[in-house]
Order: sequence, then C-alpha cells, then structure tokens
Amino acid sequence: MSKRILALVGLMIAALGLVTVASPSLVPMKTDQVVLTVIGTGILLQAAVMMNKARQDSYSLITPGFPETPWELPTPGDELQATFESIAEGGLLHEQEQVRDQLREVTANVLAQTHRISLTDAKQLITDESWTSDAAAARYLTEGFSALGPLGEVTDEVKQWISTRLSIDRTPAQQQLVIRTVNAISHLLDMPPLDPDLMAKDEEESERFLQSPEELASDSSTEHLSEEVYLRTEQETGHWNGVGVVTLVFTGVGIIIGQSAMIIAGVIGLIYAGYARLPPSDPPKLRIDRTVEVDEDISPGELIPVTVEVRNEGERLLADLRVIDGVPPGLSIAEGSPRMATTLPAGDSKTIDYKLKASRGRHEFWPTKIIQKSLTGAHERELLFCLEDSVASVSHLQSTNAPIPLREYAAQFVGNVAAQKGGGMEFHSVREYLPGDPIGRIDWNRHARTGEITTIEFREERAAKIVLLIDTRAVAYLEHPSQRHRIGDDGASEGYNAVDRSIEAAGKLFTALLADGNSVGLTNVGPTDCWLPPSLGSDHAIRAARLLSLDPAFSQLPPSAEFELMGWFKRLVRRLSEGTQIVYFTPLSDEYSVTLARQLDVRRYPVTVVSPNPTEDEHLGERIAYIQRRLRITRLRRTDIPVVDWDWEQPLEAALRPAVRRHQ
Amino acid sequence: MGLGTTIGGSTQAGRPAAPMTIDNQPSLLSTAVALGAGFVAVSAASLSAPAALPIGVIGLGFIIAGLTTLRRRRITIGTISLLAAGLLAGSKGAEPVELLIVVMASIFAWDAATMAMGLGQQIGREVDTSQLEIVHLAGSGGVGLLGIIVAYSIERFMSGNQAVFTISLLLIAGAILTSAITDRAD
Repeated sequence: MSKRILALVGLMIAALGLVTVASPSLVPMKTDQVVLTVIGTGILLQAAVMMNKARQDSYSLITPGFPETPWELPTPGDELQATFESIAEGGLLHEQEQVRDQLREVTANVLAQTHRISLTDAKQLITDESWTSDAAAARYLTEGFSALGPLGEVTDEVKQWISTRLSIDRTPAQQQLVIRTVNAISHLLDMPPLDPDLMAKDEEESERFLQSPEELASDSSTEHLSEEVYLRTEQETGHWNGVGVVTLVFTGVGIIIGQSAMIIAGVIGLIYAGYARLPPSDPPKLRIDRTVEVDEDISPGELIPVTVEVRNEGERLLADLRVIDGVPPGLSIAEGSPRMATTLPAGDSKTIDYKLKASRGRHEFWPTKIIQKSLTGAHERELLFCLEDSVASVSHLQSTNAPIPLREYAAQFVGNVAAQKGGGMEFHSVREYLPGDPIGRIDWNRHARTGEITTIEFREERAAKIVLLIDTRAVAYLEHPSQRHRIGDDGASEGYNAVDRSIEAAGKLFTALLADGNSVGLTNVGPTDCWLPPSLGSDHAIRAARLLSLDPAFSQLPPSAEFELMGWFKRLVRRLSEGTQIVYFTPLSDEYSVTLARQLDVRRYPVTVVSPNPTEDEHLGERIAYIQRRLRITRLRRTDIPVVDWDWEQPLEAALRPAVRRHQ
Repeated sequence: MGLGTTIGGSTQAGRPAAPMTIDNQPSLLSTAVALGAGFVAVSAASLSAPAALPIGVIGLGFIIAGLTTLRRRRITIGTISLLAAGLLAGSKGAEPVELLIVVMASIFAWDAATMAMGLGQQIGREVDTSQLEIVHLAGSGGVGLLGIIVAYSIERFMSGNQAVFTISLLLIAGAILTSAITDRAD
C-alpha cells in the first residue's frame, strides 16, 4: 500500500473517530460479534501489511571505521587463487580460460628451462600432450579443450548440487583438472604435489572502512559543511520500525474478543511510534582538536601519545556521539583506544587518549569520523573532520658483515682504490652535469669555451660507484602469507612486506659498502622519483637514512600513480655514469623486473639482484607464483647475473653467504 | 565487519602490530537492561495466564540468541514472542496495569537489545559507553512509562462502549498515520 493511500485511510478513520466524539449518539450501542470480528480481522490484516513494510525498510547502521585493522597488501598468487576458487561456484567461461592460459604459459616456461629447449619447442610439447604422463592434465592444456561440453557441465552441476546437499566434499571437475595440472608442473620441478587439505584459503576479510583525505576530496556525495567538516551520510536507522504494528495488533485482537484493557494497551505502541518520529535536530556544532606529542623524527618503536578533544559548541545536548579517530594506516595502536562513545552537554568537551607505535616513514592522519545519533536512536549522521597531522619516523641504518656478491669483472674497482695515488687523482672523462653533483667538479674550462656545464669524473670515482636500486612499483608490494595472521614476532626481520625488506637490505648494504670506501648512491623503480647520486661520507649516510625512511618513494603503502616505464628508464641511464654497478632489490614479482636487470646488464652496468621472497608453495595460487619466481631467478643466473634469494624467515646474512659462494 | 575476538598486538621495533580487532559483542549494560525488562514482561504476563510463561521464555531465548549471534532479526522475533505472551494474558482477563507493563517492557527490551547490538558493532566493548546508554534508556524508558500513565488514565476515566469505540478508532488512525509519515523514501 502506498503512503498516500495509507495516509488517506488513516485520516478517514481519525475523522470518524472525531465525529463520534462530537455526537456520541452515532455509536452503536451493541455491536454484533460477527461485525466485531470482521473489523478486528481487517485491522489485523492491516497490521500484517505494516509489518511487512517494516521488514522491508530494514534496520541499518552507518559503518564505522576500524583503524585498528592494518593495511592489507596482496600476497603472491592471490588473483589466481581467487579465480581458481570461483571456478568451484561455476565461474564464468572467461575466468576458466584465464586459468588455463596462465597455466599453459607457466608450463611452457618450466619445460623450456628444465629441458633447455626453446619456448616454441616447449609449446609443441604441450600441443602434443607429451610433456606429462598425466593424460587428463595434458589434455586440459591443449587449445581445443572444451571442458566438459554443455551436457557434461550440466551433469557436473547436478552432481555438485547433490554433493552439497549430502555434505560430501566434492571438488568440481574443473577444479580437479587445475589441481592435476599444477601437480604435473610441480613434478617437472621435483616438487611434491599440492596438499589436498589446503585447497581453499580461509581468509577473513577485514577492512578499515575509513576514508583517506584523497578519497574524501574526490567523493562528490559528501556535503562540505565548513572548512574542515564534511557530512557524509544522514539516514534513518530503522531502529523503531514496526512499533506501530503493536498498536494495531492489540487493538484489533481487543476488538475481536471484546477486552477493553487490551484495546487501550495499544496506546503504548502509539506513543513509542510518535517518539520515534520526533524530527531530528540540526547538524551539531563540534570542534575537534588533536594533539600529537612527537619530537622531530623519532625512532621506530617509540610510543606517540595522541589526544583528541571534542567540544560541543552548540546550544543543545548531544545525546549520542560516537567518535573514531583517523589513525594513519601505517601505524599501530599500542595503548588505549581511538574510539569514544558519549553524551556531550552544550559547552562541554571530552577527550580521547591513546598511544601509537612509530614505524618507519611519514604518516598522515586520516579524517576523524563522528557518528551522531538522536536520543531516540532513529536518526544518524556521519561527519568527517579533516585535521592535518602527521608523524615522521626515521629508521637508523644497520650494517652487515656478510660479504656482498658484487660482480666479478668490476671487482677490481670495489673497495679502496690503492695504486692510483702519486699525484692526485687521474682525470678520466666528462659527462653531463646532473643536479646533486659537487660544484667543485664542474669543468669550468669547458664552460668558458662552449658554455656547457659538465662534470669531471675521476677514475677513482668512476671505479667505485655503486647504485642501489629498489623496486617500489605497486607490483612489488607483496606480503608473505604467514604475515597476515601473525601475532607475535618470530620472523627474522622487521620488514613486513617485500618492499620493506628491500629497503632494510638496501640500508644494510649501503652502510657496509660505504664503510668499505665505495661511492654509493640510491634510487628507486617507481612512479615517485628519488635519486641520491653516489658519494662518500657520513653526511651522505645520514641523507640516505632519511630518504629511505621519509621519502614518499619508499612509503609503506603502494603508489597509486601510473608508472611511465620508458621515461623512467631513459632518465635512469642518463644519471648513471659508465660502469656503475647496480644492486637491484626486488621480489621478482613480474617479468619486467627480469627485463630491467638484463637491460641494465647489457648496457654494461653490472647488476646483482637481491630478492626477498614473499612466495610460499602451499596453496595453489601461491605455488604458481613461487614457480614463476624460481623461473625468473634461474633465467637471471643463466645470464650470469647473481641473485641473492632471500627467504622470508631468514636473516639477510644467511642469504648473502651462499650467494657469494655460488658466484665465486 | 569487525572480527569477534580481541587480539592484543605485540610489536618489535618499527613493525606494525598484528591484526588487532575490536571486540564487537553487544554492550553489557544495555543487554542487562533488555533481559531485565524481558523478565518483567514475562512475569507480568504469567500472573494472569500460566500458559504465557513458556511463550515468554521462548521470547527471552530468542533475544539472547540474537544478542550472542548478532542477528537483529532474532531480537525482533523474541519481542514478538513476548508480546504474544501479553496477548494471551490479556485474553485471559489480565489487569489493565499488568497488560500495560507487559507491552511496555517488551518494547523497551527490544529497544535496549537493539542499542546493545548497535553499540557493539559501531564502537566495541573496550570503550566505556555507559553514560550514553543511560541517557538513551532513560529516554525510551521514560516515554514508555508516560505511555503507561496515559493509557491507565484513559482506562480509569473513560469507560463504556462509546468511549472505547472512539478510542479504538483514534488509536488505529494514529498507528496508520504515523506509519505513513516517515522520512524514508518509499
């Protein structure tokens, strides 16, 4: 029944009621029981209609924020795992194709590497179905494979339906084929087959549900109330929906059985219904002040006290105020809680106190969320306050005594250059001036002659130049699967994603190489630019430490900007002087990381790769990612690029030693 | 939304803590009030109709189930059960006051339980929310008591078929009209 009809009916009955007040004689003295029952039943039907409507206008609350939830990054093989699991629920055809294509590619690469044949030959093996003894797997990867055919799919779905009803755990046919194929691939690499108990990952999804300042600025549905305040949602909660039904039911039943007490009991429902519909008040006038007690550049691990004061600057009591402070995503809460729920009389203020634990980087606070509800609980508002605060924390660089596998043919240039002394340093060459070069090295003669500004390089400098290159692209931000639900810290390292680990390793190598007398520089692969040209000295080390902690290129969160590959590469090559050695830190999560290493190597910049390993080989998706990474490592090593394969649970030193041994 | 257990995060230098989630169980104070009110409703109903006792207890059970499993639908069903107990009591000729108490207590229990659940979901148990709850419950409790007073006065001072007829019409009209006047779009 639409609202209008309802209102009309209500008004008519009200009018009738008023008429009987005016002239009581209209009221029948004694009404027939049948009539009463009919009327009563009619009322009950109306009650049923209203109840149904109340059920549809469901009860919903504004989603609060969960700043306690850490920022979650993907783990290797996530996407494949998700596609694989969706096949179980009758995934779309193109998803099944995706899985097969990916598996086909991996198989071809594995075959090419293990059998030392060309990729074309490997693909031929797949087409010939001769790469594995498992006939089903072999057939699955052929081009002409058409799953089960329409009849087969129907049969499979029926079987699936039956198994679910009988609670039999039956993996659908498609999934079984995928598993068999992956096992066949694993067999090629002498890896054990997948554990059948570990097919599905049960991941609990937890989201922060808070808005970053950028999201807020671009969200057109929020209303800008004042300079720092945004009104994001205003809604009825449906808290009291259906209470009017009580009145109709009691009155209706009361009429049918002739109990006046029951009829009058309906008043209660009506009064509650009226209470629930009190009009909401205007948006509150609040003032929020946040104080973050922090010194310049504190160390990671130190506690940061945060105080948030909420003041009611309006004239009315605020009955229900729920406050959630916008804790920066990279920081964890050490003490207290960033939440508060309270009443706030006019002119009063209340504070939230809590402490954060500092971690490397520059962290910005997100908008504070306030959910204001009416006294009745029927009406809610969501307000966001943008207070700009930030915390910066710098990690001190550690060092390492382990040997570093720099490339053989540049080895003569590593370390203190001994013999070139005897009258100062030998002039070697001239190159384009780059910002950051020492002014004292500018070739003023050339400038006087030709007007160009160029930098002189001495043999000594050239010889000892090393640049540490850190992969900070979005694809490199991966977590190891064990990281997700870890409670204590039993990992060997502090870094919690692959880029963190890369940064940690780069810090150690920077210090160690610098201490050995080398000229070391720092830069990254990614959309945000960071370049520290190779140099010497303790000031240089301090600068590097600050960059690794505070530069946005090395943020704890992945970049969102587009990465322009070609332009970046050209700029890198322009910056590097001839023969600079590169130590490239990357988890090798995609093909480009391999391409980059080889392109630099080919241009005679000797490359060593240090690769933190975020992959595991237990679940299906993970295992494929694991295999792909292993293929990349082998490919690099076969072109004489040393790779330090750094397992997640190892300290860096344990990975460096065998790498050096292998290289020598 | 929010996971059920509280896990403290212990950290080493520089490393963010492990997943620390809020305890999203319903708040204790409002839960206690809801159950208390439910108990009152069941007792009042059972005075006139012993058969109302099991129905009422089932209602309480549903409310408890709704609170522990965080399903609001169950709380509503529980309330309906309590009200059904009231209907039974009324049909067996309960005193007006008793009946009024049953209805009011049932609705009040529904409100308190919903409040408890909402607080758990939006804020969590770790924060002290008692002041807020007291204010809200005072409001809805007060309104309920007002309702009892008004209804009782009507009972007392108006009797006879004619008055009852009028009142019925007005009540029904009121219920229908208030349902029609909502801010939610249709």
